[in-house]
Amino acid sequence: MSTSSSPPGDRAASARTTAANAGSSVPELHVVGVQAAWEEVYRAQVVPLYRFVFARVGNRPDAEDVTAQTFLRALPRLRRGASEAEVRGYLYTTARTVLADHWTARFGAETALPDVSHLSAPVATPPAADAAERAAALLERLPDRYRRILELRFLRGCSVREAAAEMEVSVGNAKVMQWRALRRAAALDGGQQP
Amino acid sequence: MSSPQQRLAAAVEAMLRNRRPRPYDAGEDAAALQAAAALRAARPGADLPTEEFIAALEGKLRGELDGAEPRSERRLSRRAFLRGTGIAAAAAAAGVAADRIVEHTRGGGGAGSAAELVPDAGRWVPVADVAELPAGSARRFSAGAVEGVLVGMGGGGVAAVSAVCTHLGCLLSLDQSRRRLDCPCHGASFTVDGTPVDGYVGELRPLSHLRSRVRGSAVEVFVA
Repeated sequence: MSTSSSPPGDRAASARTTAANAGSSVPELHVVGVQAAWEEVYRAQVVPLYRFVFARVGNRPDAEDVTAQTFLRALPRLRRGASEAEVRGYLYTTARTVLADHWTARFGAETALPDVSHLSAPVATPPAADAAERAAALLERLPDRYRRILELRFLRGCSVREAAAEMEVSVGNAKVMQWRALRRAAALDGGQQP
Repeated sequence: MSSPQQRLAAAVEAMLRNRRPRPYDAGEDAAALQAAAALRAARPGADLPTEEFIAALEGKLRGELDGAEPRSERRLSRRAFLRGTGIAAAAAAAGVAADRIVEHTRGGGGAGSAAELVPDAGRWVPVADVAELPAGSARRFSAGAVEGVLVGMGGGGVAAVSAVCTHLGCLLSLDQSRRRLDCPCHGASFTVDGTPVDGYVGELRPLSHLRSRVRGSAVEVFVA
């Protein structure tokens, strides 16, 4: 951070107010700063948050809805001068709530979301956009045939029919195999959570 | 009645086609669907938002947040804010990187032939001490709506470049050791003189150069 003396209010548009320049505050400019700050928060957070959400809903229209609802709910409630970690913590806590509602409405009330709770705390780094790593770790621990069907379907984008042909099984068998593979993956994923 | 396998297969199919899965009570299979969502996101690029979505949501948020009743009587109207702080604020509010207004080619040799566009209203803001910027060093600064990086040029000279990605306006982070500015959003990277590197050459505009000067021991940046 700069050690020079800042003129009053020159940081007003920034959400990252530091102790160093808190001394020379001009109320009007700080108030104005609130308005500019949401745009800064939005631009810094929209892509990571969307990716976080996408990896938990798995399709674009739902990811867009959940992301939009999260920002619409969280941004008006952010207090001025909140630190970046606080902003992130609040955003991801809100996202978790919106995601939980979304899953409950879509796939029944018993849907647990254990894998987001540890991300809602204010953290030093944003939740990594680590979808590829997470998937690789999941696939790695699956038996060969299960890994194969999921790779074909999710990473190579094969249809069930194509995947079935590739694996020399019937379409019906491929569906059952996909189902079992996903259940096994879910069990592995669940067992890994803190 | 369809079997659990078929219902799960249908939900997976929807995800893979970027459609909303039809609601159903998945019971135990909910966790399997979550695994499916995680795998779905792993396809390169699949989990990136579209630019249209990012822009549309920003517009929607602007309507919501600016339309809301002021919580504090001290809160200024947007119009008063714009009147007070000039076109940089207007540009920021309009979703344009404010630093583009003060785009300026230093010594006439800027990359990408940025037109010289100098506002008639603005001020010089001290952002660092020149002693903090030996030749070859770089540091981030914020000055109001302007986010940038200062680069020590040696002999007391300093250059300043915008730290706002020319792709979608994300704030870049400075990697001191590599002398790079990295974008957290889509992974773009720039050298500290503003040139896009790696796969982004020719794809992205160079970062804008900011007007800077040294007054006494203070490094100042022009903020419109």
